Amino acid sequence: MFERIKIAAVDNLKLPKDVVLGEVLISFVGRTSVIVENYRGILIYDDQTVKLQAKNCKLQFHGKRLHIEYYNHDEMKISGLIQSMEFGE
Amino acid sequence: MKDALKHYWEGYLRIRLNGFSPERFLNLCMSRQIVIWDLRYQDNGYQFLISVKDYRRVRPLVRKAQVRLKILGRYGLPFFLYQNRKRKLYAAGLASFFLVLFFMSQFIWDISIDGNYQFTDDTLIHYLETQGIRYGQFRSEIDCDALEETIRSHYPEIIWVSARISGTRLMIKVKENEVMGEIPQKEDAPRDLVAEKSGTITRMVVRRGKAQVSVGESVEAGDVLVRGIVPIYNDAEELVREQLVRADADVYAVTSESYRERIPALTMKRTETGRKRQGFRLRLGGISFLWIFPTWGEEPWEMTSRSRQVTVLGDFYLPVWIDQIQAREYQIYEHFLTKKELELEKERIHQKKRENFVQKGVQILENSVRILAEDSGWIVQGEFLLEEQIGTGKAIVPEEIEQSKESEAEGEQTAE
Repeated sequence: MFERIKIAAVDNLKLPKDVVLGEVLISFVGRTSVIVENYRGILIYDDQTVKLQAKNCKLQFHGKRLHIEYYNHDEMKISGLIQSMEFGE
Repeated sequence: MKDALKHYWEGYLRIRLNGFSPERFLNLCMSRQIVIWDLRYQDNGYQFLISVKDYRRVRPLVRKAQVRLKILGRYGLPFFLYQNRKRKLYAAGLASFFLVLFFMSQFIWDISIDGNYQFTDDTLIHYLETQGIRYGQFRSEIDCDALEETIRSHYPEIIWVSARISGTRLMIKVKENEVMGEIPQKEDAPRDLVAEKSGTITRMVVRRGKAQVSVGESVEAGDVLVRGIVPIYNDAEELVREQLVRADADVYAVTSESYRERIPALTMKRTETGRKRQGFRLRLGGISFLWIFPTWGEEPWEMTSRSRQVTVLGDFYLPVWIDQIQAREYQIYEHFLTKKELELEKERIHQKKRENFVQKGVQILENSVRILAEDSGWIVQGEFLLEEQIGTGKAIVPEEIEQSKESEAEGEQTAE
């Protein structure tokens, strides 16, 4: 209930959701690299799959020769040939 | 870039990670703020880079996540120094490089002069040499303030000098006096205005002196237009005395001007054959090395070269010059002027003459040009009808002054 009110408030006040609600922010640069911000942790990592936990969902990247250039508390940069991305609960 | 330098400075390791839960290990590192980068999945295991400082903190995490770590490589300055600890000459070489660099930077290797129009760079550099400032001079021996002072006092035309040393370069900026050095003396010696050319007077305005001619009159070169001796009469119209003045007037007359210019039938023309050679020359102080393809064929070659002084880091001028040489082959042949070219040449000559008049501020009333044939070429003959100022000053000779003085004395006597 409280969560809904919060979302509605953020929507109406036009506040950035990544800052207020901690939503994940994903920026692709072509299909060879992606920067993920506001994630919580790594669930699975190998050269074909990267699965990350965000606050409200899970994300999964599929591709070839995926490698993590760097990661820290706030953001992660993945490069390689990205073929798809999906969200999961 | 900053991070890469920091990692290199502190030293870093390539680690192989295997075990039960590598992802858990990675998450633990993240939560402990342990920085891991370049993480790859390879041969059923993981490889990553980690700084030496952080590697010492991961031991408890290894146990918690039940993984195994293996060091694959060690990189960075601390490891480099450790590996090369016995290479003394290597270190000596590196140290001597910086020592030589430091030593060489104590000299002036380039003198640049800026802002000079009247005096060439060579003149000023030659002058600097007489003051003991030359290439290869110790930087600390140069006193910029004193140098500015000497240049200013030696060249009065230079009104502002700034000398400064930047790296191994001595930069001298000068400002020359663009207006005339002296205020022109006002001349007030008595003079006549005489005609410079023959012509017919169209208009005249006399400011001082007595007009000797009138509008519509034709004059010859040398005729007096305005007299500088003004007679003064009394009421009885008797000559009292003559006053000497500096005649001043604008006298315009219609004059004619003609010119003849020869154009030879044969001209030597030059064309490039299109064959080129490239080369360069390296100059180290007095020694020079030249690399260029050897010549072939009989035709002459024209060489141009572009010289460049070698610099390090923009301002560090080394006593090394590189000349880039370009050689082009050309042919000389005799060429008969065609009718069209002749016409163009005639137009060019006439246009040039016309521009000359326009520049002088002379008004052109009429002009014509024609070509006359001659044995060995042509003659361009042009005629102009101009309206221009023809008055020019001519000092009144002492005898005339004497005469006028005598007449003045006589006048006084008669007055008595």
